[in-house]
Amino acid sequence: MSESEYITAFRFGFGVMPNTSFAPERELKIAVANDTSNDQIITARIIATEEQQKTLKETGRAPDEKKKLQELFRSFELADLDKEIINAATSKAMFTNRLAAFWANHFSLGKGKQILRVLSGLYETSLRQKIFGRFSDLLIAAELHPAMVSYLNLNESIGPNSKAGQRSGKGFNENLGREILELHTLGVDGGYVQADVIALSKILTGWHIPKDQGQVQFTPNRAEPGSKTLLGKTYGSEKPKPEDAYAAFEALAAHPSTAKFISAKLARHFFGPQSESAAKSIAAVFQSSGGNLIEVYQTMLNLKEAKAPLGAQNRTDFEFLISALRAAPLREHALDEKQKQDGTEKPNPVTSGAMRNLTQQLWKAPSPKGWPDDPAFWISPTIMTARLKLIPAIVRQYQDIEPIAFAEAALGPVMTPNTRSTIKLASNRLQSIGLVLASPDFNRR
Amino acid sequence: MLINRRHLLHAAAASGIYSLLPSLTLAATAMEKRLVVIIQRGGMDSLDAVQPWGDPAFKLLRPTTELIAPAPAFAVDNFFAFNDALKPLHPLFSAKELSVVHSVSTPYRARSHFDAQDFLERGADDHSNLESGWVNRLITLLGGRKVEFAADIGTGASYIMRGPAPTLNIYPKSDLSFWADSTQFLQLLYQNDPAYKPVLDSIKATGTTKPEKTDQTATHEVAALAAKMLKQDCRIAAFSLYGWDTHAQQTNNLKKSLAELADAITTLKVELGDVWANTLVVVASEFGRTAHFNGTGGTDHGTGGAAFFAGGLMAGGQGGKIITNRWPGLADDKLFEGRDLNPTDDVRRYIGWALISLYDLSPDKLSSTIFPGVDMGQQLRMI
Repeated sequence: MSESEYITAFRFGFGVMPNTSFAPERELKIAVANDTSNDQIITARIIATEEQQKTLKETGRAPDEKKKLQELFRSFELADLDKEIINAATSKAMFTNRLAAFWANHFSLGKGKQILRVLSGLYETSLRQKIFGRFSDLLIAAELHPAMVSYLNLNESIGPNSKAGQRSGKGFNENLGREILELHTLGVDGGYVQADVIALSKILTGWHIPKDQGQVQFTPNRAEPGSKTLLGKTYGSEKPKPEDAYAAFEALAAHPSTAKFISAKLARHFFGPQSESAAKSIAAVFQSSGGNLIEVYQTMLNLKEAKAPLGAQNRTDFEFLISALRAAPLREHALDEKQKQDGTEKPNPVTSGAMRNLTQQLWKAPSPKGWPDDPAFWISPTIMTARLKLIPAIVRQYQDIEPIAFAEAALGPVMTPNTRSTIKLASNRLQSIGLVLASPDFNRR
Repeated sequence: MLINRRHLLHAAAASGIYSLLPSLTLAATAMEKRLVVIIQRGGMDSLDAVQPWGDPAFKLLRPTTELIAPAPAFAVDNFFAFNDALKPLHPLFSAKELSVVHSVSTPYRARSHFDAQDFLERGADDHSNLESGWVNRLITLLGGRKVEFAADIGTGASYIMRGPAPTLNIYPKSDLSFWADSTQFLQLLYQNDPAYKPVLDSIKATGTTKPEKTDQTATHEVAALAAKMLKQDCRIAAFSLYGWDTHAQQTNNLKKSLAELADAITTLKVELGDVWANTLVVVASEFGRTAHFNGTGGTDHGTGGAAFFAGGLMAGGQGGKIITNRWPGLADDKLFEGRDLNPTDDVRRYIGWALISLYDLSPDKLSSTIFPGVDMGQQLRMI
């Protein structure tokens, strides 16, 4: 394989996998929105959670019922994590998986809410159905997803002058409204003011997850009546409709600041912090195509920055794990073997168990801003010591391989002379293979 | 772009200065004073944490909450009462080892978490051309005085520590036995890559096994690790606490976070032992929250907030007080933009005066280097 193929596989995929070719262009050509909806699964899980919470309450928080609820959270959470990791580690569509990870981090969920433990994995699955369509559809899918509606408190938000608001004396909060403007569309310098935050927050009232429904619905009785002015345009009337929020989302998606902000984030993610010119090229296509994401990705692949030497970015923990799992053939059942401890199944040490011991907790970013695209962040000592700790577990799952051959396959022409000479010095085979995974070459992209 | 230049600074520093540092062994140090900076990420509701019951408007502000009048034990003065989740801190307050500065903020006035945190950690606004955190600049300023090192404890790369001066980033979570006899190879692997060199120093510093932790115990571990480092050669430590962004059901959620804060501070005191007498702990959040409760039993992003100052050193200064430059009042027309606690002072001024006493700095040096643009105002003996 040529150096340029390695560069493409590192920059847009998860590195090189034995006997597997990487063709991001082709992924875009055959990209059809996967329209197998997972709405039914989402509904079933929300209702199952609500029912168990109800039982818990009715039994006066009986320890057995509490344990059952915890087990429910734990089992869905681990199953989703395993599924995500196994899919990324074995799929041919590496670019698709990188894009899905990018968008899930752009529209980031975070830690804090129990219900997210049963919804976060499904949230990413829902986003995947929209990442090859228009940005506005992706935006709507994210913001009105039960996971996001729960995470950023839209579920509790009620128009104070709505019927429900008048009856209960409750009102709205600005959490989701603000983060949509600041983090998901225009960006903090995108030209909105406090009044826009309030307007959008009011426009969003009415959308919630009614008890026993297990899905996000629009309830006019909860929505703030009257017109709201968001970025100079007015939305809504005395009779609030679902279309009010849809219209606002369309306008936010079409705003030039959104094209600029999203493009800068894409450029930064794939090409590194110094990528203003790439960001401009992407933004031009984003704007002129009306947020056609396939055209946006196509543009990215064709930029001269796509061929630049590696190193402007570093791998996230998730990318590191997936790349390591793909770098060599694994032992049989390495990814699906489970051990039991005290009757409880332990997370598999190289899938969900591995992810939990890295710094980046998938779908549990410390804030709605998501995990940073700061290259320095991803090689900080904290990050790297956690990776060093994980490496032995992964290396033990590799089929018998020779360190030098492994290094040449995994890094080939992007291996630095220093890494090549160091791994040759190691006397222990496993450690030598581990050093390849620990090398700066393997951790950058 | 900003980040990349920072990254390069990091790299340059690591290759040059870092290698001159002694490895982490116990050595007698000239400087005995310790500084701990804790950042509460998310925006703490200062009005719920340290409640101004002396302001008649306060009782009317949040009619929908379950706030109840505080037990006399937590009414820390005639005007303020601690949230009862801060009960464990009351002995410190009585011993004058804790004070609160209320109705303060940085000069940042918009309501983005992330810009506000950057301001707090940079110590200046983003037009200042500074790309380093104020703790990092402080280390440079103290350069000649044997600050052996400063540690950023937690997920790492906090803005407050960024910059050319060397810092260590550690986390209580490493089992590196696999690498035990191949440290020399890791050394070879990383020695020529300045960005990776700090990894080696971090491994040397910790290298112990710690099981997986819940958030609560993780905070405890982090505080204990900070104390451990400070008892050795480390003189400055920083870490973050999370869970302050209470848009809904604030009453219970905030209690959890306040309990963690109380645990972090008491853990520092217990673990530091004698060293606590020489310690200053500064706790600050990026902003306060709206004065009124929102419609969902919580508060939205606001402006004026509060900062905590703790440590044995406080007893010699402002310990045992709730300090305000001027209480702004909570009537609607007194609120900032009609919604937030109105900040009546720059929080950097209080941190600044504390640093001046702590390190015997000149006020000019502080306002030009550490907190550019701050008006230091009248002298204040914080410690």
